[in-house]
Amino acid sequence: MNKLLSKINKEKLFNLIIILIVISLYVCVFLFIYSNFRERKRQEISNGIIKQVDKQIEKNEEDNSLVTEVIAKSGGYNYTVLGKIRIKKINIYQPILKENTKKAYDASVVKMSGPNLNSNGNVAIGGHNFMRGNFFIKINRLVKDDKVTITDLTGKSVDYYVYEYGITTIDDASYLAQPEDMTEKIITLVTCTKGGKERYFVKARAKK
Amino acid sequence: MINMDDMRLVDVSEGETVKKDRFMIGIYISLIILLVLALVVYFFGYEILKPIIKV
Repeated sequence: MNKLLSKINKEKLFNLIIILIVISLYVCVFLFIYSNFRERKRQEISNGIIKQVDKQIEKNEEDNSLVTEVIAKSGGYNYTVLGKIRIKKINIYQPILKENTKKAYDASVVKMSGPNLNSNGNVAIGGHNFMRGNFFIKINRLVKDDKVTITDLTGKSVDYYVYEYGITTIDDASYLAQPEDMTEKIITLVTCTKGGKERYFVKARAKK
Repeated sequence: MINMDDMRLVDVSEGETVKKDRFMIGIYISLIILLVLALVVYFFGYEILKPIIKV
């Protein structure tokens, strides 16, 4: 009798496990789809901004204008755009936004500190590294002499070459500091690592 | 001496087997629904869901 009861219990447990597996499959599949859709929307917003920036750059080149920022509307939001970043090695092509807000970080990469793009000094650019996203998830693949191209709104593109990279604590912001030699053009890419407990940074400088 | 409890133990009634079969068919159907639903949503759902997706 006990054996029979134990058999029934085992069957029930087995059925329960199967039902739980099916439910978790549903949840996983729809989370995957949602995350994919979110990524697509981010990419659409980013591409929308890039198109507007390209138009603005063309216009500025014709007018010889020295405009450093432009408002771009995409995905129902207005973003202040400073330029574009391209890193061919890790397939990054994103607008650089001015607003240091969550909304801006969700849409693209953001200038954290420093002078105008492509000016002398250290410009820090921060970006999220979403699980499946573009942005800065792959900057840890950059090594010495890899190229980072920054294009500002005047249409001027400057190539920067990686010379330093590493991990630092969340409290250490020394990578944002301006260089001693202020004739140098430096770009610092920053992203979170270890669940936001540390920062991964890549520093690149333009050749003189 | 035959113990009747033991006899019952090895007896798999038709009703139990049918129940188990129905359960497994239910599981297979729900997996097929999941597959079809996932494919439909993945390929045709983006434009519909776009306004409510938060980046």
